[in-house]
Amino acid sequence: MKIKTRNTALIVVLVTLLLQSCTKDFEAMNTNPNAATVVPASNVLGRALLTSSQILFGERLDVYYAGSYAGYTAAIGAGDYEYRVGINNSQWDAMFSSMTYAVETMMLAEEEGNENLYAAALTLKSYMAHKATDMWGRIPYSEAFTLEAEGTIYPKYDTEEEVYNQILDELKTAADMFDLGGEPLGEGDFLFNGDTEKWQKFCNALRLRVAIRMSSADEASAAATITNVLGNPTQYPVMSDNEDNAYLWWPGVAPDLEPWYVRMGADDGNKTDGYRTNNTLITSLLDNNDPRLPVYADENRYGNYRGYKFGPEQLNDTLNNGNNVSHIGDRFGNDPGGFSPFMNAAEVSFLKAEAYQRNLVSGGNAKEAYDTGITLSLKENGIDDPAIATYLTESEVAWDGGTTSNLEKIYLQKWISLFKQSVEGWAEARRTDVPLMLGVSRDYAGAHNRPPFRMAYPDSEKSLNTSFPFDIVENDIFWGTQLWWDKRPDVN
Amino acid sequence: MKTNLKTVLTKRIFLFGIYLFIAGTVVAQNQTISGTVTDETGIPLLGVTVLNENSNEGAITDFDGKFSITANQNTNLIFRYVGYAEQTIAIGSRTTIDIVLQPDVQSLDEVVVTALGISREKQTLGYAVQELDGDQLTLTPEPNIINSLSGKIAGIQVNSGGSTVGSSARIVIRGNSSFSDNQPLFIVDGTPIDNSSPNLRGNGGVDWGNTAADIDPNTIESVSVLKGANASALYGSRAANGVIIITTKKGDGKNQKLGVDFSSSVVFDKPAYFPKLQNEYGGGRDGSEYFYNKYNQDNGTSLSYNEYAQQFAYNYVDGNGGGVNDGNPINWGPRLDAGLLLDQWSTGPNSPWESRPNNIKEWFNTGITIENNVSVTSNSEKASGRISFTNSETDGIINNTGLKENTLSANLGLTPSDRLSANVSFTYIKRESDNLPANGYSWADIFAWLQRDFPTQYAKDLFYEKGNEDYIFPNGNNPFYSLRNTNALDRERIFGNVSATYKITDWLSANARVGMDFYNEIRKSITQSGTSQNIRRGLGGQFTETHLYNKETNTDITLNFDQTFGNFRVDGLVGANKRTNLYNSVSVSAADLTVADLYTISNAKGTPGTSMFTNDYETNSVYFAANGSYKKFLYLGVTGRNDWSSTLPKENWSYFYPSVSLGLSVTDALALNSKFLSYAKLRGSWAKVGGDTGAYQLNKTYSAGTFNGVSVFTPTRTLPPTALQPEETTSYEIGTDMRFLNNRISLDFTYYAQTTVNQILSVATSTTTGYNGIRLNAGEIENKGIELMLSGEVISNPAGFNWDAVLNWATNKSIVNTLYGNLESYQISGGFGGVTTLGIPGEEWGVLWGLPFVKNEDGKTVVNSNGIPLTTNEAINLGNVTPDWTGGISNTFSYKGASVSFLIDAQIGGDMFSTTAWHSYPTGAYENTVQNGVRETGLIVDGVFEDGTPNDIRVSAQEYFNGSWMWNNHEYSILDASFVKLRELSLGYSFNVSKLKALSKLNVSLVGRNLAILYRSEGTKELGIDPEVGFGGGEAGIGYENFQIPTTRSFGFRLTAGF
Repeated sequence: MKIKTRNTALIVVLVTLLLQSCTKDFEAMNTNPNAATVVPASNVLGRALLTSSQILFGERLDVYYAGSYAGYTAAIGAGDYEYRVGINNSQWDAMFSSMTYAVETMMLAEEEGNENLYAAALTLKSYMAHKATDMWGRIPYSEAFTLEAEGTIYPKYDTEEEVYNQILDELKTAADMFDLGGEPLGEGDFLFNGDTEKWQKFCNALRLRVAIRMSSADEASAAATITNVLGNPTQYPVMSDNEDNAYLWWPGVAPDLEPWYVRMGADDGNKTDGYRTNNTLITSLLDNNDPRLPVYADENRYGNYRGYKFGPEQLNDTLNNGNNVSHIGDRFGNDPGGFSPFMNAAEVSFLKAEAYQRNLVSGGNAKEAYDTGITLSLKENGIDDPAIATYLTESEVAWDGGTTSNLEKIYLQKWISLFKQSVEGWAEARRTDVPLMLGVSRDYAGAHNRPPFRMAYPDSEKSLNTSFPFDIVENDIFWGTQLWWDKRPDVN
Repeated sequence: MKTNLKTVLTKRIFLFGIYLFIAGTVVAQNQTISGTVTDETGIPLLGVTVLNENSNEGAITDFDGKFSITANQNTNLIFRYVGYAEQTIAIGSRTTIDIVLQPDVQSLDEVVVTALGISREKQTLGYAVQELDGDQLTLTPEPNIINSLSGKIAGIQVNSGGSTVGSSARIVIRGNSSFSDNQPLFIVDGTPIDNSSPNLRGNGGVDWGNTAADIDPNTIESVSVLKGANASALYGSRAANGVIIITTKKGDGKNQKLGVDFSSSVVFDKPAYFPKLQNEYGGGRDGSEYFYNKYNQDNGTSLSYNEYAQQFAYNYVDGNGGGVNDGNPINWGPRLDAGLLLDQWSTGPNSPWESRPNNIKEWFNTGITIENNVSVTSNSEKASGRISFTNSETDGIINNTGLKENTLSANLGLTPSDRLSANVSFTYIKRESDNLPANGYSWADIFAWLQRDFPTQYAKDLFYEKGNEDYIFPNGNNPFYSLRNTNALDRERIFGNVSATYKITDWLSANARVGMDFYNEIRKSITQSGTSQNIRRGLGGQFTETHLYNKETNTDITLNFDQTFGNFRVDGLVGANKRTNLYNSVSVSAADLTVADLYTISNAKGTPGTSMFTNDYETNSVYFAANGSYKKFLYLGVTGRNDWSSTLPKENWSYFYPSVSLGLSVTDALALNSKFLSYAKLRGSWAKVGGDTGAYQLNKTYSAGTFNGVSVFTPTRTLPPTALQPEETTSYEIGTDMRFLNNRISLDFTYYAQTTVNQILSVATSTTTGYNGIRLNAGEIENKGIELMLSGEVISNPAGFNWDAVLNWATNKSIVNTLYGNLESYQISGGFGGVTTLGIPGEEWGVLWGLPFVKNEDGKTVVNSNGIPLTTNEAINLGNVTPDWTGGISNTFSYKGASVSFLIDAQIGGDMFSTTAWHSYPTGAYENTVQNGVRETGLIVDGVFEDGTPNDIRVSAQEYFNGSWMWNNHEYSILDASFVKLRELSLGYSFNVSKLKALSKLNVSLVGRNLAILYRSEGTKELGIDPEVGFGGGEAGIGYENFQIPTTRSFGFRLTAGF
């Protein structure tokens, strides 16, 4: 009996001791020592900018996919419009991740009471959303990014028009919020290094870009926005000089290297990668003796400039191979400290030129804006003044010269100035059909007379978002109905 | 009251169980009876229970088999010893009783190690446990213990990670019950052992090995597999997937005071299963007769085939586009061995264009593993121990790869008094490799994208002469040089435990055990400055070095009781456990080096990459187990455990789970005495097991990185849970154990069903929500299955020829019942090219989801206007990665000292996505692209146009196989992964050494592993793929084949000697 009592007591003591000690440190122990729970908003903006650069100006989308569709570049040996489930999903995910980080920045900036940072993040979010809707068409936007706040697990797909309108609203909100005497943007602003005024100009320039794109579908709204911006230059300044360019410059020291360089750069000049220039780009430059040609492209080993041809021509032309096709120029593809071009001032001049030329806003001088656009683009590419002057007199370049209309000239010059902004260039080519691209990659040549209309919706979205509009028409993966603002007749 | 027990360490230590310490008290009256108990060979048995039938008091024999008991002369003494037939002896007037116990055939092999390391008679269990002898694991040398279990245990599925040195293996018992981790818990001598493994996805990567592979098979006494939650409820959370309990060899001297054992083996690994490549067409493009003839026709020319080939198909100038298709010459070039003369890299201008059928074999060597083990055993009354040392060195089949392993282990048992016993065991392992090669897609460059006429031997010679210079492609690396960009591993590990048992009374004892497992691991991957990418960019090389530290500590205190009341016996334990896990890693990397090839972080150019990570969590538990038995035929077991886990939120961090089991020996209960049915038992059990999650899942955080010296923060992409609950697995099983014809045939049958609910998952969400996933409790997975074991002594003749056969077979269905909300699928893994493995409600676990051929209503393939299959971006269910059934047959034939045994192992059903198959089309390297003369005549794809009319457009083989439609099609790359293999073969001879003083045993054997694939599907056969090989040790590699390195046949020689 004595033994039993002692044992029972022992058990009770042991169990009691254990129960008391067992959960004492649990909460402290389960607090993550590896990651922060509160961070400065500016450093999250940095993440958003980097993710945006890496996807939009990385090799896969900028060179291989949109680069091919836009007529700028080509991937030789794989020169077809490639669709692979995994890669396709990751494009979509990266686009929405960058917007997520911008939204996160906005939330933190709000907590910090930093309106400038909020406005910068909102500008970036709208910028990426504009790219996304131009790539896919309908996207979830008004209900997107609200899982944490609202519990929305299946955000609905807005129409393209709705997305555009929300983007314009957001950009206006941001434009009105920037305060040059307000809170600083902090160390995470890798785009303008804390220069609020440049953000403001970028934001307003974007409003012009978005308005012009939608002007083919909703001219009235477009005109209203353009008038609002250009009519109030003090309140809504836009980019006007190459100093204002929204270019993210890479430090150039490993691992922070410019993405095109990472993929195709060669310090020894021995560029070998399959990524080359497109025939459409090279002919457009050759046609008008464009002094940017040697900047955009390298001579092939025989001292000529040739671009890679797509479509039916691809097979018949025995010179259409790696041996003869020009590499991409060093400024764009072979500089570890190069840039990711979110937007440049030249484009803003062309946006103005088009607005004036089409009378979307009154009081401007289209020719002047057009010449300024060309000048800014050439200067940016290191072309000297005499060469610029000469180029402006080329028959198909000079205002009112040659056989092409002034509007077509604006479109072409803008498209050339957008080199390395392939998603933007592709959208412009789809809106304007300038330059005209009839040659479609061989696998689809039988059925289509234009490059792809859109990116394929990702497989992941179809399985994870029950709001996916399954009635969206996708033909041969990349085609289907044209986007909202794509009013080209008789294209397929 | 007087206790006359002597507690001693048993000779047969695996019988060591608390229940042996049966109380014996004797009333001091009448006479004292003493005697000796021996086995049938005259060796004294210690620990035999001698019981007074009337008083239930008793004694236990000592080290010399002696006992002493006081009893009335009218009573009977019962002698009980596990594994031996019970004897009842009337005392009469005797004061000395010497007894010879005879082995109990029925229960001889029936003592198994169960949860918490407790040995129990198998007949008392209400659930399925299967045990293997250590000898069965070392029969044919295999360094990874998981691989050596394949085919030997009913209901397990083993996936070998391939034939690179030190590769992982994955084991799953009774199917997949989770989307993330399905592997069982490994226990060595009562201490949980880490078995983490790289969770490589379908793309492959460096396989650093699963850490349970550190266990040295030479030290294993037995392996006991607890198959389901029912058997393992006492281990708690981690045991829901079953437990593999390893008991190591201890002081096992029998009559010896000192013993030395030595074993040595040499095994050769010969690459055996090569892909089926074509040898008819070489590198280049547009080179087949189809194009040649078309050219002359279209252009009205009459070029010779040689002229055409040189001008349009292939001509080497600089390997960089300077010649004809010489920069990217995949296998669509001119016909080989047709007398053509072309300019080539290795043979120069106008040299014969010839096939090199051995150019893949030449990449590989014969691997060799030399292993030596020596062990010393000592045994005495108060102390016994065993020390073992193993050295093993492997040269891999891939150039410049290898592995070295040294294992030192020691076991020491002390019995200072008859109440106290203490045991310490530990193992020290050092595992080193200078280079573990990457598996997977990187090998595509050699198998598929390289020219079939590639001169491998020339490239190898060139590498030894000039390093990475003058390679065929100036911007590519000589593959032999690439193997100098190494992945080195250095792991030092110690695991073991210290335990002490104190007998409080004759029926109660206390046990304390502290067990620990920790290792330091250094992984270092380097890329040399001479690599073409680095030369091109002027970089001095790169490296990443990662230091890992992992430690788990378990402290257990138990009180064990064992009481008999007449026909009832109750035994069991009450205990508590504290478990702590700590993981740290620090990693540094350089993207460029100032001084070339000096791989130290202070030499980094630019910002060095750095990261550190800590993971720390704890669980505390109290538990009990009680077993009751009535006579020797009815057994009831009950367990309960409550865990407190630091990883769960406060309101849910405590959770309880019980189990109950029942066993009924029908033959004993009904006292059946049939010659046909020797024994029959029914068993059934029910159990619930709870589970926690990983550390730090409950809060939103931001992970840090840097850009240009500025920190950038990325928010968590998984939404943290709000009220996370523990996972819950409920299972039941029923089974029978039957023996026939005087125990010569035995049949063990189990049916089980197991449901896991409230799985803690990161459920994927659309990225558009702002998160990639939500962590929450979701999903229900159900596993049902049958396991069968049939074994028989087909021919039994102790003096002559014997034939023993064991057959096991199991089938499991793992169904995903529900997920979460409207979620249509959960992604388990993804492979190359966008194929994914999914859990889909209503479907079996592991659906292969990919892009199909477009078919019309009649099921005909639809082609476009060019006669090429149409593509789609609507993925569908193309197969499932889980096998329908697994099984194995082992046979042993012996005659006197000679024996032959072999094991056949099968997995039938289940599919895989073969990246090799996928690339067999575009690269033109495989035999399937030259069959039926397609390169001469082209082909008409069997299909219809969109309007339904039959396709009549002839296309070239190149246009079809190398068309970009195939990148949008996964259907033709889904292959049936069934196989039957001759897994093991051993021819052994034991010399009769009874006349030799110096030797106690001497055995030599010839051994072989993976000798033949007896069956595989047409698809895998056509490509020459071994269907068994997966990737890494995790879920992510299951169902993916990606340019497997040829699996090997292993042959060797093994010698064991005892002194």
